[in-house]
Amino acid sequence: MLKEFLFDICSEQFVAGFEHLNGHILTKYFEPYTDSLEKDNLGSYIFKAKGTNERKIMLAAHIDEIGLMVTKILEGGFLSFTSVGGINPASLVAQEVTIFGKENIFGVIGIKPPHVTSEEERKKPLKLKDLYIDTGYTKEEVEKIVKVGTIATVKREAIALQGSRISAKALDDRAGVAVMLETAKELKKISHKSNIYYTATVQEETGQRGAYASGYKINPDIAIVLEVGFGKTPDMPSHSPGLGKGPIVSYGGRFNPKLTKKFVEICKKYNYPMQYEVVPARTGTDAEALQINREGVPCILLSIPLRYMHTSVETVDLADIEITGKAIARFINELDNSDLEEILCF
Amino acid sequence: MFNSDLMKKLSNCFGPSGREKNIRELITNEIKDYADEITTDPLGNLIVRKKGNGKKILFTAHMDQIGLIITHVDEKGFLRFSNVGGLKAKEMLGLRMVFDNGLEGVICKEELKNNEKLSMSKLYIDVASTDKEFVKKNFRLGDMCVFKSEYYETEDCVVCKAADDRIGCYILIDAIKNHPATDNDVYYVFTVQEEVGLRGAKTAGYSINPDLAIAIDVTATGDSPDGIKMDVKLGGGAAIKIKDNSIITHPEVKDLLTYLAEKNNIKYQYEILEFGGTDAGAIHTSREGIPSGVISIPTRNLHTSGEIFNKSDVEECIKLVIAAAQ
Repeated sequence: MLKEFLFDICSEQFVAGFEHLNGHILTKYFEPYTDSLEKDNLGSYIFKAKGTNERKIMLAAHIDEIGLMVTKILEGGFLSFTSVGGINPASLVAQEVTIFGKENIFGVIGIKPPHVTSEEERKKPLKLKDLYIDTGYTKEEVEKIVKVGTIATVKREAIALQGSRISAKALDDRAGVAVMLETAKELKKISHKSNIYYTATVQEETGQRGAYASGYKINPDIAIVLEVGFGKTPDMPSHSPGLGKGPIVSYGGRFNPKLTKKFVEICKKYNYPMQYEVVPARTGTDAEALQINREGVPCILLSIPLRYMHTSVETVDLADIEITGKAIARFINELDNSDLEEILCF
Repeated sequence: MFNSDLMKKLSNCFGPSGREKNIRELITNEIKDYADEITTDPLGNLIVRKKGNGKKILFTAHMDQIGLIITHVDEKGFLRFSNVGGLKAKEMLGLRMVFDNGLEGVICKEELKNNEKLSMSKLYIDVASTDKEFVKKNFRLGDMCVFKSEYYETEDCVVCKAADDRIGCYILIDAIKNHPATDNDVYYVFTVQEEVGLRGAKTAGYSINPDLAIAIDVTATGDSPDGIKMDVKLGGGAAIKIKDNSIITHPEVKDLLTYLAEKNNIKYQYEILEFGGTDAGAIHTSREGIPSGVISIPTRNLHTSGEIFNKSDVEECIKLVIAAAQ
């Protein structure tokens, strides 16, 4: 079911700013484990599982993904575009894309033949403004379907790699959303006293904008932010977190040290594997917005190790998602039976 | 009809970020007979209200302009400075600047072999005086200055400084004077400190907490020789923003503005700006989120002493603001 969810949700588009179109998939999977769905004014999906006390625990994972946006329709029907969120232009070359215009159409992003690319041109880093989408249509034809502002994504079905690994676009941060789903399933079984808010936030990739609004609306006592982290590959530093070795627990100024410590204790107690990373300053996650929400919210950040971030072949290990989901359920269970103020008190 | 006198006054009024007193007074005088309520909030935003019982709608235009701030007055009477808002060292050389007290200076550089490496620390302001006492008395650390340039217009276009965003102020002033009959509770806010990080709009958005917010600001164009790849042009009508670095316009707001433009025969174009931001960026993340959008005036040479915009675009923007207020 975890795999099914990720295959379903990763194949749909939730480009930052356009997350309102495919919400039914989230509802389909979260509804059985939650009591209500609310949206804030920016469109984040807030699934609430009612508790028996007043405490509010927010889980946040962003549903939005990076994408492309048409900036100009050129002579010959070629489409210039910009990125929504950070994209390495090199990762777009020779990709097939889906353009979400009046109807969905396909296109390709090409590049000049090597035969006519000079030595000097080769040395220059590729820029987005040098690339364009070719749909096959003429300018007149494509103008009927596509406008300035129309969005597109790389066209990529999720695939199962060997073992428990999968590769897909937008696993940043659908992997985090999947963790929430795992936690919801688990908490449904073992029950909980706190009110749990599973929040699929919008517009994280363009600056954590959704989390500002949903954090303000929920006004939680604590927040657990779920993200993806830089998984180890041969070209990454040797101490990078590995796939299949459990969640990455973050230490840094954004995170409440005592709450983080408590989570680590729970993992150890129940033998869940985990890894550590240090993020001294800006984290580039929803924690940026949530920590300074209203009077301040104690946050922890847990990340799923992921390879090839911000490409269409992001790769994760499903085991990491399962473990993290279960560990959070245990964590919440323990918090339910403790004095939160005492834990948070410095 | 374009009111050249008003635009000239707005453009020439001194008001860099954090020093908006003069421009606030000028705007207050313009609209005081047309407002139901005029207040100034703690940061200095000018809030003009046209009361109603319906939805709360917020329009903003920032009244601050980019400028320079004096960081040091040296023994010889030369001024060192830092920028207030987005200004690049390369683009400053030789500019005439004017202070609040009417005194002027010229931006000069130290002797450099390689102008490519020009940085602000190598620039200084020469205030054209050999009298050290005079300089000491009249120029102090923290004083600000702005471009000095003449207002000029042709049949269809205007050249002036601080069109960013005094043309937005012009549009709101016109909209206030021609406020439509409506139930909506409309707030026209002239914000402070946009150029240094959307600071005024942040508090205005929080205190007003509107149902819909629309910022009026300038945007770049793609119609100059070898310019940026951008589909906005002078004379193309009001620009409805799709995205910049501070906001992705709420889809419903984009659709609303498009619908209003088409229904009222207002010439419009869609705009994607790949840099920069506007007041709407700060407003839309306020509280539980505020659906926000931007109506932009296509403007060439942004952040220079000769910003150029088209008068017919301004008319279209005014029509769109009034349609949205209704």
